[in-house]
Amino acid sequence: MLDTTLDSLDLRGDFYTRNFQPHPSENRLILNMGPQHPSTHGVLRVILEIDGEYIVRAEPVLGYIHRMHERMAEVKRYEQYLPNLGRIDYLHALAWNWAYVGAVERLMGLEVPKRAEYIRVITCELNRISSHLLWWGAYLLDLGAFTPIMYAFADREIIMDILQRITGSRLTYCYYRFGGVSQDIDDKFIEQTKELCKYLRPRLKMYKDFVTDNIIFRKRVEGIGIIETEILRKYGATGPVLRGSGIAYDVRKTKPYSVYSEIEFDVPSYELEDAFGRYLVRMQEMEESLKIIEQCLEQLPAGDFILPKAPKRPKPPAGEVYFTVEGARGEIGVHLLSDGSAYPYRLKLRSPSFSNLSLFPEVVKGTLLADAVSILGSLDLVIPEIDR
Amino acid sequence: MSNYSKSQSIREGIWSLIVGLKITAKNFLKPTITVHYPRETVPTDKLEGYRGHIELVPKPKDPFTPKCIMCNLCATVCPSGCIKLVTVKEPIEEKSKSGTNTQEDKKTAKKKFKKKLVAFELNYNYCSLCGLCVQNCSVKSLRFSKDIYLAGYSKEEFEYDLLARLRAKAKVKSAKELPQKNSEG
Amino acid sequence: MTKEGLGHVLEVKPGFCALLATGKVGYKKQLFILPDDLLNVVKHLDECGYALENITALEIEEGFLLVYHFNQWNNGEKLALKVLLTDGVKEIDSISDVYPGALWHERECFDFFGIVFKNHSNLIPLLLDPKENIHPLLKAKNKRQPLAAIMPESEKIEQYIKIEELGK
Ligand code: SF4
Ligand code: SF4
Repeated sequence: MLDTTLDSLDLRGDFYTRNFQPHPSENRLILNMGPQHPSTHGVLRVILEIDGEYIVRAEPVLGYIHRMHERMAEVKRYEQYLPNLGRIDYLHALAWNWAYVGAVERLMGLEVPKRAEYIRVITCELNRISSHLLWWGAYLLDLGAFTPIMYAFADREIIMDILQRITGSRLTYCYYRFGGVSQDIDDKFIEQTKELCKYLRPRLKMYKDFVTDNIIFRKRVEGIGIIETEILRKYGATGPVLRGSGIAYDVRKTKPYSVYSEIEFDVPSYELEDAFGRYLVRMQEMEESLKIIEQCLEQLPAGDFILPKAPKRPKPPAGEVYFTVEGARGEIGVHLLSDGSAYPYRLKLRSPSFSNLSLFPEVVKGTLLADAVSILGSLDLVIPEIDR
Repeated sequence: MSNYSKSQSIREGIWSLIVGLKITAKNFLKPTITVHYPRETVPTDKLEGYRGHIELVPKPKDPFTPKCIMCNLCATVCPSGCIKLVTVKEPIEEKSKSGTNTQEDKKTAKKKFKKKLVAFELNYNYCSLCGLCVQNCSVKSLRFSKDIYLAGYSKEEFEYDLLARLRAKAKVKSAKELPQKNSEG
Repeated sequence: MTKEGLGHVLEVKPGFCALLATGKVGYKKQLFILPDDLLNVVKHLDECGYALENITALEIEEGFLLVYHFNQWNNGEKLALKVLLTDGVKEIDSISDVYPGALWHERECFDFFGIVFKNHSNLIPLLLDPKENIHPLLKAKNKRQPLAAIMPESEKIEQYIKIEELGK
C-alpha cells in the first residue's frame, strides 16, 4: 500500500535544505534559487532565508557540475591532462592552460622562447576580452536588459574566429604546450588582430553610451553589494572583485610573469566597493587588454614558437611548485607536486571564482532579493570553475 | 537633494535613455550578421584552422594507403583513449589475403611477417580535439578534417573507421578523376 | 634520503616555526609548524595583513600534509604554511574563526580526504554527494610517497623562528 498521508511525505526538503535550517521561524521563508535559475549561469544553487523581500541568510550549494579534475590529474600523464584545462573555466580557458604549463615548466626548468611568450600574452588577452564581453552581456541579461548580449556575442564572434584559426577551437582551447604553443601565428593573424583592436575601441565607447551611462542600469548597480576590504582579505577574493574595492592587486603587475614586465599597461581599480565598481574595472580592463595586444604585436620577436627540445611527454623531477596567473576572474593558481614519475602526484587547482563566491553569503545579508541577482552577476562566476 | 540638481539628474537620466535608443535604432537598420543555418552555411574561409575529427593522411602517390607506420603512439598519447589500431600480421612472400596465421608460423618466422593495418578506429564521442595525436605522429599521418555538420541519432554513428573512410574518399576521388582523364586522353 | 628528511621536518618545537628553503617553488616563505600551533600562527598572519588564498591537502606515507597559502596584496609575496598530520590523526583545528574564507576550503578537504576540522560551523560535503561517503583523493597504500620524495626542499631547514616574531 502506498502511504500518501502528509506525514509520510518529507516536506523538509533535501539534505542541504534540512541542514540549512531545521526550524524556520514562522514568517520566514526558505527559498531555493537555482540550480536551474537563469541568473546563476549554469548550475549554482543558493538557499535563501527571506523575510519578505529581504535576505536574512544565504548559502550556496555547489557540486552540480563537479567533475573531480584534481583526481583526473593523478591518473593521466602530464601531457594528457592538457585538454582538461580548457574545461575548467570555459570562458578564460587560456589562462588555465597557462597556469598549468607554467607550473610544469617551472618544475622542469624549461626556458620558453620569447616569441612563444608574446604569443601567449596576445592570445590570453584576446581570450580575456572575449570572457569579459560575455560577462558584460550576461550580466545585463540578469538585470533585465536583453539586447546587450547580442552586441557582445557579435564582437566575441570575431575574437573566436581569430583564435580558431590558430588554436583550432572556439571555446575550450588547448593551445599552450610545455615550452611554447602548439602552432605559430602568421601574418593573417596579426592583420586580423590589428583590425580587431581598431574595431573594438569605438565599440567599447559605444557600450559606455549604451549601457554604462544608462540611468536604469545605474540604479541597479550603484551602491549595491558593498564589499569591504576586510571581507575581501579574509575570503581571499581576487581579480576585478578585489580591484572594484580599490585594491590594485593584479598578478600581471604585482608579480609579473612571462613578458608582462616589458609591457606598459594600467591596472584599473575603483574605490566604489559596489557592483558598479566591479563593472567599471572589467570595462576598463578590456581597453587595457587591447593596449597590451597592440604593444605585443609591435614588439613580437622572431624565433621559435616552441622550445625545439621541449619534451612532448615530460617527466618532471620530484618537487613542489605553485604558479599563479591572472585570469579574467582573478588569481588562478596551480599547486603541483611531483614524485618524479610521468603522472602528477597531486594537483590542486585554486580557482578564483571559488573564493569570490564564498563571500557571497556575507555580502548578501540584509539586501533585497532582486539585488542578490545583481551581486551574483557582478562577481562574474563561472560555475565549472568553482566545482572543478 | 535640491530641486535644481534633482531636475538635472532626471534630465540626464532621460537623455541617457535617448542615447541608448539611438544606438538601438541605428543597429536595427544594419544588415544581419548571423547565418541562417541550415538555409545558409558558414563560408569556408571562416573554417580555416577549424578542428573537425581527425583523419588519416594518404601517401602522396597512393591515395588508398595512409602514411601510418602503426607505431601506436597516437593511441597511447590520447587522453581519452579514443584511438584503436587493428592490425594483422601478414607474411611477406605468400601474400595470403585472409591474413590468418597459426601460432607456429609466428614463432618460426618472425621477420617474414609484416604488420598490416586493417582498421583505424576512432571513437569520436570521447575525443576532446586536443590535437595531441596529430602533434605526436612522427610521420604526419594524422590531420584534422573539416567535417563540421555532424548529427546523429546514436552514439555508434560517431565511431568511425578512419581507414575505411580514407579508402571511400579516395575511391570517390579517383572515380571523379578517371572520366576526366579519359575525356582528356 | 627518506629518514633524514623526515627527521628534520619533525624536529619542530611547540611555539616555533621551521623556515624552509623555498627554491623554485614560488613562495616567499615556507613554514613548517606543529598542528597545535596552527591557530596561533594564523592569528599572527591575520594581524600582519595576509589574505587567505588557498587550502589544500595531500596524502603521503606519513599521513596528511595540509598546505595553507597566504598572500600579500601589496607585493604579491606568498607564504605557505605546512602542517603534517601523522600517526593516523585525521583532525585539525579549523581556522575559519580567523579567516571565514577557510570554511569552504576546509569543507573541500573534508570531501576529498576525510580530514575533520574541529570547530568548523558547517562541516558537510561541499562538492560531492552527501549520501556517498567516498574520499576520492586518498591514495592506495603502495602509491603513497614519503614527504622527502615529493618535497626535496623540506629537507633544508634554514632557521627556527618564534611564532611571535613571525611578522618581522
Ligand atoms: S602516431 Fe601516426 S604513425 Fe603512429 S599509429 Fe598513430 S597515425 Fe600511425
Ligand atoms: S584529438 Fe586528442 S582526444 Fe581526439 S583523438 Fe586525438 S589525442 Fe585523442
